[in-house]
Amino acid sequence: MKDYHQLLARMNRRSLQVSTKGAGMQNGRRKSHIHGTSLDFADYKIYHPGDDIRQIDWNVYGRTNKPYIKRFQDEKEISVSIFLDATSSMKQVLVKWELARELAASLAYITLSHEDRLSFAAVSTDFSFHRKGSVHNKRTFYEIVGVRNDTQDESFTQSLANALTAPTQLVILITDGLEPLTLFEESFKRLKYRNQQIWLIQLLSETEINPPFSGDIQLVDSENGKMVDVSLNPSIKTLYKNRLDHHNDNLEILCATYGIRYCRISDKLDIQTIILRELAFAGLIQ
Amino acid sequence: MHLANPYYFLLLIFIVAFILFYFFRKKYTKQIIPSNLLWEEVLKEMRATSWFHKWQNNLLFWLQLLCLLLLMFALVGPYFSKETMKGKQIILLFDTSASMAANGKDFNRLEDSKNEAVKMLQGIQQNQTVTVLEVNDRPKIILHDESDRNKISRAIKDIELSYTHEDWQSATELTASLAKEGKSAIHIFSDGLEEEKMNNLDSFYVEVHNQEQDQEENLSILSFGVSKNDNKVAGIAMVENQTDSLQKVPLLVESEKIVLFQQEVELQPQEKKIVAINDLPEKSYYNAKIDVDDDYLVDNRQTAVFNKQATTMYTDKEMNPFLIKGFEAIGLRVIQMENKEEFLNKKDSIFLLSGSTLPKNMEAPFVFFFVDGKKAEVQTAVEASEDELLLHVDMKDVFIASAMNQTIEGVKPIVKGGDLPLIQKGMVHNQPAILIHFDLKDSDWPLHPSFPIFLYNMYQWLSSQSNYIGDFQPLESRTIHLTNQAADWDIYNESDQLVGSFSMEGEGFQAPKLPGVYQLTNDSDLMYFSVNLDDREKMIASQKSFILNEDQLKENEITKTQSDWLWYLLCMLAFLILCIEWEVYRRANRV
Repeated sequence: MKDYHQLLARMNRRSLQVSTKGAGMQNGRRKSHIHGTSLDFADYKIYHPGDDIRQIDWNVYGRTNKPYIKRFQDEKEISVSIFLDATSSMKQVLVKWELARELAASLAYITLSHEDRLSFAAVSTDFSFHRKGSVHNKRTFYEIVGVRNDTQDESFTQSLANALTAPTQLVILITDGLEPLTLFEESFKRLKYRNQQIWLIQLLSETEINPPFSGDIQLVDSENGKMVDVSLNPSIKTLYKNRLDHHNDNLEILCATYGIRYCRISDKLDIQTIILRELAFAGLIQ
Repeated sequence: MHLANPYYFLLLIFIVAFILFYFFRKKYTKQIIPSNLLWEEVLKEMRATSWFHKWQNNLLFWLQLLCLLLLMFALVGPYFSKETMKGKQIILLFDTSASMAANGKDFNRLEDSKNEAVKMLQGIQQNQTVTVLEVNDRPKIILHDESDRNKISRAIKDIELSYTHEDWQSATELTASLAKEGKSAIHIFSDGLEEEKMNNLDSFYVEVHNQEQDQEENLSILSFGVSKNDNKVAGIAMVENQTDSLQKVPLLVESEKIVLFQQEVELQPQEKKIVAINDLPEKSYYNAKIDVDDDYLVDNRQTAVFNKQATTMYTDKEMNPFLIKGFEAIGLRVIQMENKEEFLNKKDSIFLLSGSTLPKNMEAPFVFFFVDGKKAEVQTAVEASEDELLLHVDMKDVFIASAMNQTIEGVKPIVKGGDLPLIQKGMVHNQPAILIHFDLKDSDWPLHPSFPIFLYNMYQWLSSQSNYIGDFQPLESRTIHLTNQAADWDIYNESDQLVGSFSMEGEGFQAPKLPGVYQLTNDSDLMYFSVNLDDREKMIASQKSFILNEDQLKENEITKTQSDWLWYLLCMLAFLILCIEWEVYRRANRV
């Protein structure tokens, strides 16, 4: 069992950055631009009849002899959906799968720690939940890291359609992106019409980026079992890498087209680096 | 059904390899990866752009076409024209007489003939058979109707000189009996064969290959002999210069590696000269040699074995002086001994004895007269049988009054009077003996002219029974008489090498092949004998090659068979192309 204490400690101070004009009305810790009932000072406003007289700042009146209302920032919450691709392609490489779970768990932890509402689904399995309250953060973290459910459907994009529930302000998709782009496009279309900010984190294994084997291999697809016979020589590998880059770039462009934020990570990094550096750099975490 | 080339079953190896090839196609190690999506795209892309693939269909086409073309060429059966031999049955005769040992083009003439024959036979085809005969004094069939080329060339290479004189008469008779009219081609390899000798082969196609050389130089010792006169040994040698130029020839006589006589003889072209050699020391054998390096070396030497004929006769005191006189007249020295026992142990002599009973043991041949003892009257006329002792001896009118009747073991009567043996001859005490059962006093034979002739015959027979085996021709068979009755003898040559052995119980004695002097020995006795060439072999014969009866041979209706190696090559190429094709196909399926 890996030791996550340091990670959790570091994550306590982080929060997800959402550019929101969103509609959440419940109390949370997020600063909403609606001047509301929190304790943080926002600005002064001249009193108009009808405003809450409890908010008049008497110090300012004493100095300026005009009644001003102190406005406080409204604490609002957002709801975050985290969709973790749990198809066989993710589970095949253990390092990748572990990192995926850790990533999902970390994002869930940050969400809960910030008193935001969390919806988590391990897509293509029957594991999902909705949760709120920072008291659950650690438990949730370990729960997601330890997820072990069987895959029921082999297509992430298609299962995603079933996994979508109520729209949330932030949607995070954690996947390896190894599906035809047309399917992704369909999923994006489905997600788009809701007023949400979508992040796509493409997690790829080093073995997929730089295939380590050579010689005559029969490659078996973990999801559909199809077999391809290849003689791996450097020229084929180069072709493959080009193809991979091409695919990833196209995915990125597709995301951009749909206004989806995109981040690509590899499993050669560890979770701390990803959370604290990569995703922070990408703008998801602050 | 039979199989002509069962060795081709070995090609099964290739077929097995081919099958294994298919089974053990490239093994792909399985590897589960997350997704094949991109790989499939990669391969699709590769397939789309691969020049190999574009080509590949065409390549298969071209390869298969090439393969078929090669097969067709192979079947067409190209061959280089070789000289084929005429005749369905080919008969080869090889002359192995001594004259074929003369220098030929490369080696000696027999080797040249063998090489020529082997080269001729390279053009032989499947349905031609070969018969090989060796011609010497007794023609021999070496191979009969053989088609296997390896066997034929091996048999020809194994033919060796026999140093005898060739007997063409019986050789051609044998050939004529083996040959088939119209189908046989006879090839004779010799040196000096003339057309006249080929009478028996009139109805056959004969090609005579005479080993003719431009320059043939030969000097030869035609004959050499020694004899003893009054304790002195003298020899005579006849030397011939067969070349066209003046020659100075060193002649030497040696024995047991010591040179006894040496002289340089000057000879005019084609001259024969007799050289007298006097005062030779007494040895068992003499070798005469002319030390020249001519084209034919075998006739440069001759051996003479010294015949120690008995020249002394021992007799006792009571012997009839008439007999003594008679023996002295033919050249024997007769010595009368005082004591009988004393001289009975002498060797190299013959004995003349008389008495009533035979002596107990003898070491030498003898004549014994039965003088005392019971006599019986000879009733009938004297009958003589055919015997070498009675050569030119006419016993018809001889009167013999009475004779001793004694049966002795080991002797046979050669003259009888009725049942009474009068003169017997045989081996007594392992020595040649002549027993005369009557006293000369009782007969009138000494008055007949046949009497001294008989004495001489007796002397010749008795002395020839001594240890002189004589002079042989190469491979000559003769029965020899040995006084030592031991069974096994060994034959050694001049260099003390064992060349053979001889057993008294086996077949008759056959002389070795190479001319020279030999020793016949067992543990106790040592005798020399010589092997010399036949006189007719003492020169190099030389004739041109010729062909007889060319029209006799009907043309062969054989289909020309293929040259072996060319269609092999084409088939191998076709097979190689096939292999390349498989490899291409295999790669095609994979990528």
